Amino acid sequence: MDIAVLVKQSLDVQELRVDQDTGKIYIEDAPTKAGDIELNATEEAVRLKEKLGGKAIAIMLSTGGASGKRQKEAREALTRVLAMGLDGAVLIMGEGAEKGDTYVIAKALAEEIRDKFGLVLAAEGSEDNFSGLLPARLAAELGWPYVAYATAIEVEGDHVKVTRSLEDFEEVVRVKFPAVISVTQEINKPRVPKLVEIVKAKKKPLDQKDFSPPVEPKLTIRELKVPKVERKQIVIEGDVEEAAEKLIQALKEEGVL
Amino acid sequence: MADFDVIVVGAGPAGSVASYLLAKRGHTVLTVERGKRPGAKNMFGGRLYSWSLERIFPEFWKEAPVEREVTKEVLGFLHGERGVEIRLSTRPKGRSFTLLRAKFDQWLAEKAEDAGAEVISGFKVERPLIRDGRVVGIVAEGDEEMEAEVVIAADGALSFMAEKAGLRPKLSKEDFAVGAKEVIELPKEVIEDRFGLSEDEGAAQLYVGDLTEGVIGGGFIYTNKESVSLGVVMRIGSLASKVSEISTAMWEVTEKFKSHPMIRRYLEGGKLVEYSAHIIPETQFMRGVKLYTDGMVVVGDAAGFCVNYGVTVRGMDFAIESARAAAEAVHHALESGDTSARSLSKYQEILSSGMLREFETAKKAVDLMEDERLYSSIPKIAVETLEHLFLVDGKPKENLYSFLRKEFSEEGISLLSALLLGWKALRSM
Ligand SMILES: Cc1cc2nc3c(=O)[nH]c(=O)nc-3n(C[C@H](O)[C@H](O)[C@H](O)COP(=O)(O)OP(=O)(O)OC[C@H]3O[C@@H](n4cnc5c(N)ncnc54)[C@H](O)[C@@H]3O)c2cc1C
Repeated sequence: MDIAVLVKQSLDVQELRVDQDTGKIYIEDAPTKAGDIELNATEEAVRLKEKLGGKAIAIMLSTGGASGKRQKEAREALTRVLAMGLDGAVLIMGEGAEKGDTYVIAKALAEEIRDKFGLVLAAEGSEDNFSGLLPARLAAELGWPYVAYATAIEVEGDHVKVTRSLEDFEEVVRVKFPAVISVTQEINKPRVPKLVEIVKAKKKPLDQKDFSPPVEPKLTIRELKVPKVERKQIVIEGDVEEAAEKLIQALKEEGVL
Repeated sequence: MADFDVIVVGAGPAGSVASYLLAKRGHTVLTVERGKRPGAKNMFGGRLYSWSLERIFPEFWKEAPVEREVTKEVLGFLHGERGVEIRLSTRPKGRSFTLLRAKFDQWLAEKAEDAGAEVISGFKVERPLIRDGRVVGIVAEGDEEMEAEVVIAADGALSFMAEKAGLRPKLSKEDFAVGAKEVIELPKEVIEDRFGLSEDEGAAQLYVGDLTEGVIGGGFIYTNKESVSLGVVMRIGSLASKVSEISTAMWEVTEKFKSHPMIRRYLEGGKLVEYSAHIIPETQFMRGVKLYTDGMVVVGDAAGFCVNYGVTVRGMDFAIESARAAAEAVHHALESGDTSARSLSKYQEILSSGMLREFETAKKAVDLMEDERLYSSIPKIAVETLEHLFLVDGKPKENLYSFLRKEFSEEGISLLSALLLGWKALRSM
């Protein structure tokens, strides 16, 4: 049985540039990469694939449009997960994908995954948006069970035992294949590929396909902006006693204390 | 059998050019870059002299991400709140372009990749892999060994590769200068208006004066399409002893430079989008550098092919040309199946009959720029002499000759030595 690992082309949020005055975010300028939690999903897939006796394939549906820059970055991100031990990758890219919401993306991914895979591993949320909606939506599209927030996965015959981390307790569930599972960062420590593994990964099969939206999106983003935080810029002077008193007073007025 | 014919350490201009040329000739090339992407962490002042890159990519500026072609050269003297600017408007024969490294280095690295080189970023090379006194590959982070017939060290000014292969002595801070730079965004039209440029034209402006307080160095401004690169360059040796002191000093001088009335007006309303600092190898240390050994050659800044004129630095064109010479030599070595030092000495031969002559001339100019008076006395005298010439206050004016004599003697310079300074300047150009 083959495993599909969903790898999102996430914005490198550390390199996002923001215009402080207008709140504008320069999305186009920011580089992209494979999200960190996707690396956990990849690690888990590499570990599980031996037990399941099949292949593990990365699937990336890029929402970065179709520019040469984004294409190159997408391939680099896939090379990285391939270097960790995946057997191949599918890259779906095209004009219009950037407008896709999770509904569109899930539909398109379902078409790619149905009939081909027995298990889908995904990150609990993507690094840039972290909506965490996609794996659930995909499971719904496929009509497969969905287990979220896995911190441990064990294969037991024709089903898997999944430990889920919830707010106050852990839950252990059993689920039959086929299934969709999202993992957390606690599940494992992703291996760091070696130079030679990256060199070899560049020769692994990478199948690029054109994206065409299967449906119209239900949700469109009108504008992305950083919330503006106005500083009050109050300076409190005086000796320590006095200043502390005034500070407490000011904080009370703000409703902080 | 080695893993690769060639391993190139560093994807700056030197590394990418060497990778490109060797991959194009059918050799297997692995290029290892420690930054997240080629160029991600690289900086320079702002101008590339195009002669050497043009030999490899004729009319490269038509496709490469260059910013503006430099047609305005400004030399400025700053003294206190006052200043003098000398402006040369020209369409120079030797073309030069302003550019931003993050984009440009990535473009060059892509050229290498397209030619077939494997360019891998995000990996640091720890040291050359040496067996029986011969370089046989690299050791990457995580103690991973990778073998190659020839290693090309293109790892920049600090080059641990050259040092660990015994090609250059351990350097001390006197061997370096340091540069700090800010990129300040301004609308295109504003830049063209303030610097007197038409579309695609660019300005290169250098300033010396009391802002560095006697330390050799000064400030620079280069115009990009929609930003200006502004920064300062200073000698480390004379600057301070601790890294923290150096960075504070750099920051203070940059701020002083930016707030000078003559500079401030260029920047008004601009938005600071990037800050970076980098070291610059001083030319003197070249004496102790060897360019090749068994299985390895050193190119670009790593080999010391960088000239620090005091305020401006020139190294990109030399990095590219040295990489071209090295690629030529390495190609021959690989073809002949002999990659020993003797065979690789062809690299030095090619350089000697070409670039090294240009490099020596450039270095001569540096000898002049070593004169500390250029950074303190001359700017002051220039500003005050012009003030003397132009200001009218109704009082009788001292004649120019006696005014100049007074100015020079205040600075402890005889007129004769001033003339000599001028003569040396002319000769070195
Ligand atoms: C402030 C300043 C202003 C300058 N202004 C100009 C100018 O206007 N015009 C000009 O022509 N020159 C200028 N220079 C000089 C110019 O930047 C250099 O000469 C040029 O970058 C040299 O190119 P290079 O490829 O040899 O080295 P670099 O550009 O330094 O590239 C070295 C590369 O190797 C990588 N690397 C280093 N160590 C390792 C390792 N261990 N493993 C893997 N990768 C590694 C680095 O990340 C880097 O990408 C300036 C320099 C400074 C500092």
